[in-house]
Amino acid sequence: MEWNTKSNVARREVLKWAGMALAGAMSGVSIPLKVQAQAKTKPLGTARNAIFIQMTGAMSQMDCWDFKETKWTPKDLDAQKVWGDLYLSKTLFGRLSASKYMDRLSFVRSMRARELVHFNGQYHCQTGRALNVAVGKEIPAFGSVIAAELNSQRRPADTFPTYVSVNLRQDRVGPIGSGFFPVTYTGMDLDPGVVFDVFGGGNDGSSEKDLDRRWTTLQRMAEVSPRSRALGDKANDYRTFYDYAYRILNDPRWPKVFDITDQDKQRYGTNIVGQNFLLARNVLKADAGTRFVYISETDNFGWDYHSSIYDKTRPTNLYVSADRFDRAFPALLEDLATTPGHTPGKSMLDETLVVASSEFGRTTYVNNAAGRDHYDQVFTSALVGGGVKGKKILGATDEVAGKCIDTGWQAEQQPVVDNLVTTVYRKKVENTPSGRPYEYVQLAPIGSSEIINPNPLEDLFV
Amino acid sequence: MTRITSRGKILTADFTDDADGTLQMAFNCAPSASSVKSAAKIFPLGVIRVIRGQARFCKKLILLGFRVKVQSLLPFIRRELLMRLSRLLFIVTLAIACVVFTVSAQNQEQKQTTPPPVSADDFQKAHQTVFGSETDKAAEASRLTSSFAAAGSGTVENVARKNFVDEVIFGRMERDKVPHAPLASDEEFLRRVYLDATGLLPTPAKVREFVENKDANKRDKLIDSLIGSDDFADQWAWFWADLFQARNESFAYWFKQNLKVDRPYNEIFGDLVASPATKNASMIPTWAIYGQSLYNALRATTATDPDNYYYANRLDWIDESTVNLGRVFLGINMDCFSCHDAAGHTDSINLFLTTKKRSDFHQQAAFFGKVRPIATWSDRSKMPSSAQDVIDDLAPGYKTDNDAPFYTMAEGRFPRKAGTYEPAFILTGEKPRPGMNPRQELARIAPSHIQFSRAAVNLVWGKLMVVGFVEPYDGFDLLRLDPNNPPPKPWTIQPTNPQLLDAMAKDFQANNYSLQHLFKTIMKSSAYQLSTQYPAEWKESYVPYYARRFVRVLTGPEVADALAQVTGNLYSFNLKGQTVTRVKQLSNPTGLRGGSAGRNNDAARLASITPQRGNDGTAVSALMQAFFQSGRETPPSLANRASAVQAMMMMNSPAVTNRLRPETGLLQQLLKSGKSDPQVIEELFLTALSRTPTKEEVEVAQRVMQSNRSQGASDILWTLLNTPEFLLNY
Repeated sequence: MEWNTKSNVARREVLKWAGMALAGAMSGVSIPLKVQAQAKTKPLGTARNAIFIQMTGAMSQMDCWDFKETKWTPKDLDAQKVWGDLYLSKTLFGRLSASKYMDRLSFVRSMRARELVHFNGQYHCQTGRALNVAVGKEIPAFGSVIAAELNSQRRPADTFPTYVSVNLRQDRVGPIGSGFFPVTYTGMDLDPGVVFDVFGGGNDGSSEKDLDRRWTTLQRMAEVSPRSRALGDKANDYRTFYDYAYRILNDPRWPKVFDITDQDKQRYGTNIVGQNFLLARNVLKADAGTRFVYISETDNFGWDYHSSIYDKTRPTNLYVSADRFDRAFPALLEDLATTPGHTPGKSMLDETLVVASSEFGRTTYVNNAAGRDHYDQVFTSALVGGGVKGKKILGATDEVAGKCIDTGWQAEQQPVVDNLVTTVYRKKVENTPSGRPYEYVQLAPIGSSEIINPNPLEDLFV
Repeated sequence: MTRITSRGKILTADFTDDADGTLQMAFNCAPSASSVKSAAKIFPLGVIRVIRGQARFCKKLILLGFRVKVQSLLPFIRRELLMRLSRLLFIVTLAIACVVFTVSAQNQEQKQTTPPPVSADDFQKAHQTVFGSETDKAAEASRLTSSFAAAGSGTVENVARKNFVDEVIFGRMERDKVPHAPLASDEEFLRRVYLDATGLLPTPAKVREFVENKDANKRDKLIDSLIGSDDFADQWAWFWADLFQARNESFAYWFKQNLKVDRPYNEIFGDLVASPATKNASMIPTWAIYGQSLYNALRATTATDPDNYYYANRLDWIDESTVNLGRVFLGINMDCFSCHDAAGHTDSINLFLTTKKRSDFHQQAAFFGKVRPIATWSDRSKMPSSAQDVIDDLAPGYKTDNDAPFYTMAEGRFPRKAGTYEPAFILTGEKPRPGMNPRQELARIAPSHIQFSRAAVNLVWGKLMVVGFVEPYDGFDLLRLDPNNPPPKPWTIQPTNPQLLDAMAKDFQANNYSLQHLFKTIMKSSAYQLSTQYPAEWKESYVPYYARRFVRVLTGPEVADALAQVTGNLYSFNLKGQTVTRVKQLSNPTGLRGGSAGRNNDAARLASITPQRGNDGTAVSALMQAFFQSGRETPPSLANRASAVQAMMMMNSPAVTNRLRPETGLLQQLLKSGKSDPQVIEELFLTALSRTPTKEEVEVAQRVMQSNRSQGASDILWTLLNTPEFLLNY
């Protein structure tokens, strides 16, 4: 990761201690510091961007990425060996298994969840830690952390926010803000139900010309307005926000993000999953400042089949959810792989770490509503790109995909979503307004009796 | 400016981006001569506390190191230990150095003839409370207001003191020689009162009529007419529903009725904690506030056990409900000590909380100890989401010995120590009278405590005056409220005005907990009616004096409704078969998304004003979210912040731009009315900003309308909707 910059830990820690000792004597000279990442381990790879796909609703691991045939498994799944220990159902993931990028994927089958309800699980995915309501207001989405860390790398022509989320309005938690980090690092959420109308072409209410013209009128009116006249040099929050917003709206790359060709529709599908992946692809391809995209893969319900999971007579079921993903995901990989990256000779897929993870798994048995319920003991996450060596599977489960029999890495504990997040960035410590340390990756979550192993999943990269 | 604190000490940090764009943190650490003296008093206590804390942590780490069996964790523990030990050593050395330094500085001070006066700023800074967010809110409001309101000039006439609120507020300013703003103009006042009371804008006719009215009591009469109206009920039921995380139509309806008839607040509380639910609880309004906590306590497996043991963790549900009620009605966040004793955790945050133990929390929660939810189903599914809960008071009590056998963090709270807890009120220890239903006793005990009234007063004051007595609303520190009984240094008195808070709380109690009386008391005071324009140099230390009006960013529903009202293109929402035209008439913000995307399946479906544009509701919902409307799954943030996303939405969302088409709504009406351009412009200004335009503004607007009249008018209205004057409540 290019985010491992020089460590100034010692100096920063010293000054922090100095501050603690000189209590109450607060005024006067400010000592500027560079707050930078604490690099203790060697970089994993040169991933310039990252995409985190939250597989909303929780995939059933035994049907999907940790295929296990049990008495409840439908007979038409047609599991085929893809490589090594990976068997995928051809019915569910036919296109993905046949894709030439299949070899670049790796899986972690020993993931363990800390939550059993969507709200908490999705919160965990977005912030990289379990929900603690006492400090909830302070905790940022981990995308905001990334935005803060990468802020120094923004180029003058960059207008898009560093952290963009897609479709988070649809999920239980909604987009989580920047917590105690400055508001600038809040992610911008693109709601596919809205953005194509709001920002796309063919919008009757407002075209680019309209916006330009209106902006000019706004400036002229502001010049003579009794409120604005006396401002002088004082920072005007509204002016700053409006300027920032206008720069994005005015950037010719911005409306292109919402430009969907017919070919795109055919390759990705016209459903919500396709729209989400297209938005993510377009935002990254625009190369206008966005480096991290967090996608809530599908609608609010997602993969959450508590009932009739295999029932093809229902409008949505496992087959439908899988089909949507199976169409859009290989298309996304293809487009990333065929877009040149920043380093010559590398593709955007080489430079983008893509993580796909549910909040938790599903039960090993089918319940009396012919569905599967939430399950926290094991679930599977997938990683590809950004230095991930494909064809690796970390961890293994028993014959019903219910218990973890091998954690797949050096620890006894199973990895959790926090480890996926560590894999994306480095360990660092800050202080929140309430005085508790905000560690980029928690060792000991507040209020928990467990200790998390904060290591990244390094084995995927070697 | 974010206050970043380290255990026990205060640091002030500014996030600034300097020229090369790196994230810089400026620590204000060096002492000035005057503050050194205060340092000499504060610092030994603080350092000892820090040293003790570090030593305690080291001991914990060492013990942990022996207990931990996982090899890979030892390096981490070792590293932490090393860090803590070296930190300890450093502090001790630095402590010695500092003692020497302060002693020598004191010697230096003695050589001066007269000590320099401690300015209000230095005094304030040296005595800042540790948990910074209440000052953050105030600082935010202060900064936003300063950047919005021009500096006024000239002298300020004496402002009439209309009630006891004014006596305290202006009395204090007079005593401390703090200048205050003049009274707001009629236009400013009118718009503000309408927005605060009803969340709507005054119509141009109302503006003209009010300004021309010569009645000396017109302001009071306006307030009387608005408080208790239907619009008032809509606005404030929404506010309380956000606090309660209630998404239910029957709750919204019930609460609105309460507000219209001015139901005493203690009785509302009584209903919420004590009502029975022997049939389907989801049909009963007062049980809507328990929906989220019950959901969070579900095990999300199908119910197999007749006692519903595997259905929901009953004690988790009771605990979380207790926390939610405590936040809103007592202004106290009990979450921290719902899992463990607060001592050792909240020591640098809240003195009162630090005295609380987990057993205290259990005892408070035990008022609900006999309550149990029994899930029933009318379908086969037995899924938690389709359960109809019956609630009774037949559980044996708050017994922890059958706590979850397969506890995981997912279950919410730490395993509870075995035992039975009897109810005792958290603030006084009062127990229910023998033989009485504990919930009904809670309904009697809690409101009789003054804190109940303080919390209510603080909620309303915080919304109307923008900066509460205590921020956040659930951050009260009961050991820091009494100036006659101040906390030990370096703690300070917490409320911005403790005397007024107590006086208003007593007044609230004495007036039968009347919310309408509370609203009127605040709004009729001159303190509420000051302008944002400040005649002297503004200092942030003036914030607690309420020396000027602070601005507040409009809330999501306020923006959405104002948008429709100003453009004349109203919404058409379907509320249970009835058509309503305002967002605040709905019960649920998330329902706006419509279709299966909304969490509430019986949420309103929306008709779009232009069929080809698709679902207007999603655009409005997105707009409201940009203005920090919560989805009501967590306590609201009550943020008072602008953002770039708000700007993008206001400039480009179809919710806005579609309403500005000149062939629709107000624009069409004005353009076809035969009015001259200046008259049209004046109407637009009056409608959108509740004031008449200046000569210069009319000139600019006329030029805009010259080339293309209808497009120009649309552009002007767009401009007005995108100014801070529209987006702020000032």
